[in-house]
Amino acid sequence: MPKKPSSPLRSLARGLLRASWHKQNLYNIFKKEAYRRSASLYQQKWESKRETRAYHGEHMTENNWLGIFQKNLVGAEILHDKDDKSGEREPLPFGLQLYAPIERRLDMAMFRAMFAGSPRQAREFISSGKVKVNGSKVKHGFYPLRPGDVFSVEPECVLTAVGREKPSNGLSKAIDAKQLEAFKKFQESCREDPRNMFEQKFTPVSVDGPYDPDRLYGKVRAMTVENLTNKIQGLSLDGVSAEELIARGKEEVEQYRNEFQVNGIVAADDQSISQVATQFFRLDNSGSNSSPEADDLLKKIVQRRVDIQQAELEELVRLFRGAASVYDPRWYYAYLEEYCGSELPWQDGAYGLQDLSKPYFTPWTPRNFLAPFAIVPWHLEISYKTCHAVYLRDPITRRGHSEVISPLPLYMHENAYLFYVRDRQ
Amino acid sequence: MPFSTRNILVSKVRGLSPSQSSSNGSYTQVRGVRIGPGSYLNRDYGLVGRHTLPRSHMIQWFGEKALNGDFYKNPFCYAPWDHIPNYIPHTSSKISRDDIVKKIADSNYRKNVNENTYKPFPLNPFTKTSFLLSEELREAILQSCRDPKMSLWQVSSRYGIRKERVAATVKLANIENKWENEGKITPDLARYAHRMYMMMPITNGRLSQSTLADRLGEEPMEEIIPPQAAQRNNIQIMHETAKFSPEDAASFFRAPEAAELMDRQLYSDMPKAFSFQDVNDKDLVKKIKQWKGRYTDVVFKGNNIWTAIPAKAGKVGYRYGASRDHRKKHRKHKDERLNI
Repeated sequence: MPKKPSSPLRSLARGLLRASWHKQNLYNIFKKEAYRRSASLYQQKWESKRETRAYHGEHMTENNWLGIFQKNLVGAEILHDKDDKSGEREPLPFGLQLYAPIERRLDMAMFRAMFAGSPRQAREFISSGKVKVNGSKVKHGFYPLRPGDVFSVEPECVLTAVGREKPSNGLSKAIDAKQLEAFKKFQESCREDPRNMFEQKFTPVSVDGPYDPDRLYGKVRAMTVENLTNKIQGLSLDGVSAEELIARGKEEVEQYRNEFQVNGIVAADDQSISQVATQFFRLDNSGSNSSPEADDLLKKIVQRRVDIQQAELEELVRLFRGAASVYDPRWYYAYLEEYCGSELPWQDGAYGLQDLSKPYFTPWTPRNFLAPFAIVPWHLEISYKTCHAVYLRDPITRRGHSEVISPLPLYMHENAYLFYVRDRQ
Repeated sequence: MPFSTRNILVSKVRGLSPSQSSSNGSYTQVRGVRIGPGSYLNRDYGLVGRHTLPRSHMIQWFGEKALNGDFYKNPFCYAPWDHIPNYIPHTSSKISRDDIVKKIADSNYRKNVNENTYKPFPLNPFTKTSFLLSEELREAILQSCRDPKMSLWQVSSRYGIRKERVAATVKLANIENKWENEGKITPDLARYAHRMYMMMPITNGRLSQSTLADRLGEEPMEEIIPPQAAQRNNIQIMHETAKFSPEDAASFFRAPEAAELMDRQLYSDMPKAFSFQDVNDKDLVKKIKQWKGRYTDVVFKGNNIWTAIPAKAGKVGYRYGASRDHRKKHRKHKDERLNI
């Protein structure tokens, strides 16, 4: 039976630091102070033991830990000349080597390689058969790795552990509704006061962070540009038959018939269209038999109309391609549904449910509060593309540096070592 | 009034009283707060909703929530894209949360990269993050390893990366190529790998020495781990005026001198490929060649060849369970094997 923690893992009152990516644990790490209570030596040793064991090997029983505990703490030293002044050298933190044997365990190594959110989660993956060492399935978290061992995890597990939580259907719909409401308000206020909105220079928050504020809007602009270029291509008259052109021309010209009958000239929005339309009306009064000259004029009208539309869209494309530094009253068109073609253009599908078959948030994004725990270990070489990692060697200490990752200060580890050694020489 | 769209995904936090609007930036001090016995009665300490005081402090530390539930104003919420880590800064405990947030929000904070930016925990200055090999360095190492004239230690000293790490890089690159050819790297996996690469600090090793990361990422090559014999307590009685030299130490441990040991460790090459020519039993060799690569690696010890083969466990668990208890006569299954 796997051991359950004796106290709640994320107790705020106790404030013990755990090997976990949970945000409450991050808060406890942030909040932790380095202070030494004035207490007896045994009390200090006991408290150090309590704090350090809560992080290192919390998922192991005390007897299991004592079974792998080693009295000898090994450090690495560079060979110095005789004249070297030893006083100037940084201290060798031997105390941090106390919990080095735990780093050899497979579940701990998986946690260090960032394939799981905690050694407990790593143990879950291991016992369900998702982990291999040197090609063979290993189902026990205590498996001790040797230098040169290659361990691998199934990618789905890693993506679930490191990625965001997949939202339920209900939650996804609720979030989409809120986003839509906010986006509609944004579009409304852009229409009301485009200058003010342009000068406000927003920093939209995307699902993957505010460090690149233009990324979200850049994506929307790119979508709009793509839609518009497709539209421009769609408008072209390359494959259109002559009869269709004539029919279109006739439709266009119908709007100006009344005006011509009243005024004798057509005054359309474009000069050339007006000229051609007046020519057409002067030519073709009856309207039943269409002469080839009339058809040419109609074709010209249609071509001209298409050219105008394409020119407008091309101008918009040019506007949206560049990063908007100069103000243009049409700057916000890129975010309107008629141009970008989607209600929520930064999202493809429902929120977090782009691919329903996956157990994680899709498109894959890293979970929140991962950055403070993103530590590259010295004793492992990791390949994220294949979710493989190589155990290079046992973690060691050297001057001013310990390869054993621990959030607790050195004196706590030293006191814990004294607790476990218990003066038995 | 136009809708304020400073951030598109914004919503109000539940549980905050109108006077305690966190958009004003009034965060409470969480470090060094000595919580007395009656403090929960005192609303001035910053109680939020119906939570206890420690939980209220934590809620205020996380800050405002966005529409999708992210604590988007918390500086540790999102992962970076520029290879500069986003760790808890090294400050004294007297500094308030407001000041830490201001420090991180300052645009110059991420530009002033010093040694402390690569130390994740403020209480432990001995824990430092390592560096991933940048794409250029990795390509250069793989290219050099393909060159038959260069040995492992030459590649290692050329780029400032340990031998074991160079060997591991080659191993993992082979696996990656294999997966790419088989099409096992899905778009999500590629996205994950790219994101992790952008989040972690990278180094160019000895290729270029332009950034602090390159200098810190250069691994110490000239260190040796003391042998097992030297890790025990060793006491030798000698005369007061006698001098103890490295040669005496070497003879005591019955090992070569430390300098020679260091040379051997640094300049030893990769183990040679094993050939089957010396093995006499051809049938055994055939069998091993069938198994090799399928299960575990083949190990040669003395005159024997060892490998792991799948074990046959037989019926597992068929004896256990109340329905299979052989001692109760009215149960469904009897264990007739034991003839009880």
